[in-house]
Amino acid sequence: MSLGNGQYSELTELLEALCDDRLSPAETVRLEQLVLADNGARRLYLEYIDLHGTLHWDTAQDSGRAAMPAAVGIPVATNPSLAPAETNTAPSGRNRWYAASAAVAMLILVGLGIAIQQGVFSEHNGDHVARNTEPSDGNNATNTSTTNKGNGTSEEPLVIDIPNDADKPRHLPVVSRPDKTPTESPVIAPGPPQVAANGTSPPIDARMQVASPVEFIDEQISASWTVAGVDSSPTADDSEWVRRVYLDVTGRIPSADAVDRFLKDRRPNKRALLVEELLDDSAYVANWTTIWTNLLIGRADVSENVNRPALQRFLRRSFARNRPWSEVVYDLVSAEGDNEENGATNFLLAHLNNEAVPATAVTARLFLGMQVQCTQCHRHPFNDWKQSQFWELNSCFQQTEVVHQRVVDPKTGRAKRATQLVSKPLAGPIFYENRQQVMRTAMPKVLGVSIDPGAETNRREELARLVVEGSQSQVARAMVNRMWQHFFGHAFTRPVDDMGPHSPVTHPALLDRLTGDFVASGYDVKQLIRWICNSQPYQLSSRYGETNIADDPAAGAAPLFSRMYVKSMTVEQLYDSMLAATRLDESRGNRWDETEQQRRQEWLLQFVVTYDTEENNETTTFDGTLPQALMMMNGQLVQQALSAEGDTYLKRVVTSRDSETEKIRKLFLAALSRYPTPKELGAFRKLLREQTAASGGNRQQAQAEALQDLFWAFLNSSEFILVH
Amino acid sequence: MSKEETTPTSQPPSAEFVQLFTRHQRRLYIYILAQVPSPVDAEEILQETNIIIWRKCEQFEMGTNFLAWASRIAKFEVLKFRDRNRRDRLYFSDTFIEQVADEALVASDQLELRRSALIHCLGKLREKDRELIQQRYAPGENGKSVADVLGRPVNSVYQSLGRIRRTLMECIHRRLAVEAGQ
Repeated sequence: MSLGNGQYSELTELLEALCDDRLSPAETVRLEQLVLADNGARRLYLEYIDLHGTLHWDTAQDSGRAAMPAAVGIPVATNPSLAPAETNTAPSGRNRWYAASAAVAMLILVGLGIAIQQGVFSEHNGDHVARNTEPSDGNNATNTSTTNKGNGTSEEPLVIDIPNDADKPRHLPVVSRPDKTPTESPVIAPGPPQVAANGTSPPIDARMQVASPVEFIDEQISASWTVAGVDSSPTADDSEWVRRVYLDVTGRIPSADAVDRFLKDRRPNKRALLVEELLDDSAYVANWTTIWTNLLIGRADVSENVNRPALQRFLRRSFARNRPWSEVVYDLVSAEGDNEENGATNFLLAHLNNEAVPATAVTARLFLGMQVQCTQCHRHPFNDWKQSQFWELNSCFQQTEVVHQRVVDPKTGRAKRATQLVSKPLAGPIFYENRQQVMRTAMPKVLGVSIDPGAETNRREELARLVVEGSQSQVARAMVNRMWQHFFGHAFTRPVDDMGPHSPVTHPALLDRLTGDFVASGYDVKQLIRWICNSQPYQLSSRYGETNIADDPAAGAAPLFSRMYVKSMTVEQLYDSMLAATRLDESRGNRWDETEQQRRQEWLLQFVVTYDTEENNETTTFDGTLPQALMMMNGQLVQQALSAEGDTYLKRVVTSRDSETEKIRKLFLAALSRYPTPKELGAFRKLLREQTAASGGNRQQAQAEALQDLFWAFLNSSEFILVH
Repeated sequence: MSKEETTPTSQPPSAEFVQLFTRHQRRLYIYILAQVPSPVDAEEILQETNIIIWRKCEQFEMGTNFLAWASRIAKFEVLKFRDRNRRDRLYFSDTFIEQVADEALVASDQLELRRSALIHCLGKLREKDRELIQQRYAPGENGKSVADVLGRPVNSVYQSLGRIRRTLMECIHRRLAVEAGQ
């Protein structure tokens, strides 16, 4: 007996009903009849079961992403830890608010010209930042003190003239390709990337023979402009660029002297030379230690197993010696031993809680650029990562244990607690439950390569070895992408650490090439930074015109890097920049000094909220908005910075024999890394004279106070708090 | 953390056994699903089956057919499950199960091929259709809940899902035919 066409379509209907769980008893009987009547029908039934079952087994909604906490700042008002800062400083703070109001208003009127332009023309890293720099909100942010903001906004925003570059007017919109940058001068001869062998530094010219990756960046990026029909922004002027490169490479703004020196430098390749200088600066080491400490264990100490100073020591040595990134990753992933003696152990010590789920997720995210935390519970239908793969990776961490011992400190002779990361033999699979509470097993496996599941295998060593294998290793790819994001504000994928096959890559050929070159360079982190910082896109201004208005990643477009995207300072950058601007860093001495470290950590932690999630993630409430900045600025740090007592930069400027104009210029350089425009200078001089005259008393004292207000206003401006 | 779990029997299963076990999970699942056509029930039965398989691992003779051995356990678990839940759920007749089960086991040979064809075909779907299928098969979802979320009449969602499944079926057929031809 066989079925006719009509019966086949009836069968299909019934099978559909079956798949949607809406088969009535009568239909069930009918389905059985039809299926049993015919071989073809039986096959169709099984094919439907197959499809239905496979979809069930493999498919899970991509719900994880929506459920992930967004790193959105908590409104200041609801953060009790911030409140005291305001009340503490009430007496002088209130005065300052009032006294500085004119300066603030003036700054909005004049000094913020650049920020106003950015608000209109440029994109920002996050929504909150965007809010910050829109002209209207810029006023709102300071409305407690601004009385005459109407005047401020009625004046047209100024085009910023740079005195030492005045022969090259920069008017928007841009119609031509940007000027040749100094880095493209003949000093940088084309040639293959050269790696400093065995730690000795070759002469500077040899080290800079990196033109070929740099050229490739320029070529690929400008090709994407052509395709998208945009023209790039002009080259950033020197003061915009010098501040950016300091912040990006060393995590803080340049000192007034450094800016002055750079602006006056006439060497054609001065930008490339500065990059070299910064890569050799101790602040480079400090900056990348901070960045990677935050990425590896977060800002807040959530586990008493973690020895933060030891991890920082490990990172510091690694960055100072410019160890190959593959080695650093290997050490972190395979680390064993005492958390004091081997600082690298502290990465995993921070994440071994909760069946090592955070260790799995964070390792994949940071080093492989893969977000697998959602696949822990369910499957991603269009992502190569399956739930099973999550646990296969996870099984690599399940040999690892935290062991506590009481040991006698040889120095003090006293007993103390020692924490160690130890590998125990574990053979065979691990077990996990899927969403339906079905027990499943997972054998150690990473990136499709199985690891011997025997007890004698050290799975983490195998994992660490496997991930850095090959000329296009995933570790290299993830690092290139992260570095690109660090310097340009956007990565080739969005987000930076989700590089799975489902994530479109904006410049795939470039990513491949840089990954290959990075591997070929011996995972030379400084070399990678050199390529990026010497590339043409990195020289561009953050201002944009009509020709590249479409290049707006914040609005969802794929980034074209036709201009520098504005980044908000991190809380560490702000702190370190404050110290740099006020020269408190000099009086406070060594940055690795314990007291200073503690002071910095305490200050940073007021902005950190940790979540006890499966990724051990945290967020900072620091969102770069002006009101929050204001709140911070009234804290002790700023009090000290602005103090005319002791050895502060302000005091040095105030008490110097310089002219009034020179004093204003120095404060501009220290805080904003640029000279004032003639208009700004005129306005501030007028303000200074008015305040001095109004005081009636001690002229010198009055001028000092006026300068203090001015400096305070600079440190509070959005121009200060943005990386542009 | 999983140390207790790794030793449910006196003798931990060999790595070879574990591999067989892992490799056949999906086939067992489809085998069970052919007999109890609710994916959730099938998962539950698979879980029971796995526990027995694990407990009896020493009884399995290496070198013999793992799937045949495991499917006997699964079949027994299907019957147990049906007996336990007979009153409140609807099930196929014993005759039906008898006739279909063995063929299901044989057909599951093709599973991996069909699965990669399915992945290919999912990629060919229109974005909207793919999203709908994705939503429908998300854990705990069904046609009705998806209709609620989308604010669409449930019947129209059923129709869409039916159409998409048929599209996928045809695509899988074509794909397999092409591969067989090569």
